Amino acid sequence: MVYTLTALGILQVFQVTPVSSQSTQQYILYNIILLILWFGVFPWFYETFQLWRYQSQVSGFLNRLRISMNSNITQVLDFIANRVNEDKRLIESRIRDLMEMVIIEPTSMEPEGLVRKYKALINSYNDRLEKDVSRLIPAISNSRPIIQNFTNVVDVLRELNFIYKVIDHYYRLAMKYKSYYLLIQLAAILPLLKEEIDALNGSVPAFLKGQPIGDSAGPLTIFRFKNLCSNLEPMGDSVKDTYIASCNFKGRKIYLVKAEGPGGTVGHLDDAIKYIYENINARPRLMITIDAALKLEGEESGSIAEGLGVAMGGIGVEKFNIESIATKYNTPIYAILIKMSMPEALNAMTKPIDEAVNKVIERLGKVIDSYSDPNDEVIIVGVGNTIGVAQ
Amino acid sequence: MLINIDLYTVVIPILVTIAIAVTLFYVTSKDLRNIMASTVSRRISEYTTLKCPTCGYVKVREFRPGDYVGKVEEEKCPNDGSNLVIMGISKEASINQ
Repeated sequence: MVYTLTALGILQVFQVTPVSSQSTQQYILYNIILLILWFGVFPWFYETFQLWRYQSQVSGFLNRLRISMNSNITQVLDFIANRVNEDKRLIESRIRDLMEMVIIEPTSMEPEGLVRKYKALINSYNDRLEKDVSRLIPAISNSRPIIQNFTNVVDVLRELNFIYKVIDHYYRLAMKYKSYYLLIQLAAILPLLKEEIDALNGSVPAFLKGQPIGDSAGPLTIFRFKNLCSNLEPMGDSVKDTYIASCNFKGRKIYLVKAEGPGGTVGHLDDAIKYIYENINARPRLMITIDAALKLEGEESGSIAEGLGVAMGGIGVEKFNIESIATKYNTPIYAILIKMSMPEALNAMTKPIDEAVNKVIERLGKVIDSYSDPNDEVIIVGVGNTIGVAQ
Repeated sequence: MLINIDLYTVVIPILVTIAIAVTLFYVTSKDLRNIMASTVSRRISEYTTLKCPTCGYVKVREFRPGDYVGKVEEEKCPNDGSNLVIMGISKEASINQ
């Protein structure tokens, strides 16, 4: 009965029924049906459509991420295949195990000593990953740079896997509870995640080939600046994975610090600074840090910005330690930043960034000239992953 | 039975509904295409810059596996015979610039 009335009502609304005189009751009925259509059916239809739209966006994104992860694993397996005779499936399962590795952050309920805890955790993570990679491909265990590069690849795969799992988790939750707003939030962050995923995907071939990436701009600056100095004296292996050298530039004694290449590592720059102050007893007049920085959309790739403070990304452990040492000895810290997008920072170095490094070297000369005097000591730190850049 | 099919109350609403459906389908498929699209649009050429440490002679060649900045190459400088050193490795195209 109700369906018949509704159908009749709809037909009347569109005047498809036989023309006849309409009573007041019919008029009210049609209006009620119209109200139900406008405020009940159409919004429901709109929401369902939007839900479907966001659902298809997120599921499409997850599919693409899964495909790119598999493609990265294939690239890695191809890389290994030339060096190891083991079963590919076995190696793949080991790589997938490494991708699942979890790092549990130290508790921050009691902040005392938190930075030291983080540093110990990061060091043990890096050591563990390197050992695991050596065990995975024993044929390369003698070549530290290749192990370091491969460790970076595993790190990238782990990061991609983590992003996939988190997005998949919220997507499944949203679908389970038909949560429209959870899906909207997921869809809203997709462009940002896409940028990060493109950056991570692009970094895999660069790490496998051992090419300098955008983030290597800091270490590359040190490498090129070194050629302008005289009396260059490397200080051996004082700090693990870190290159320290002293040289003369315009009458100043310069301490150069960077991660030790050409393997992909960021070194232990804070330990190197501590070594310079406390073991060599240097008292620098100035400390200059050079690093790659993420640009804003309106900024140009390879543009340079100067400022004060430690130019350094990451969790902040090394930054904290360097700031502590500089504050203790009252050393002003100067920063030079090379702007680039996230894909540029993690992909093979582009021409504008390579050219920006040469401009930074010019600026370094001016900064040293302006803010220090002859016979002063100056520390220059090239911050970043030194993959593909030796010393 | 006389059926009155009016232009304004029947034909136009149907046409508008079809137009909206087509537009929504296009918008949604465009969203998907944008998300699925790969950002690598052209071939990236990677090259290595070699420099003579003595005379400053510069040579650019294609990147070879095993190249790294600071590597002393077997190749000699045509001017003074010094071994060339790799001073830079970069690529021409960039992703998502």
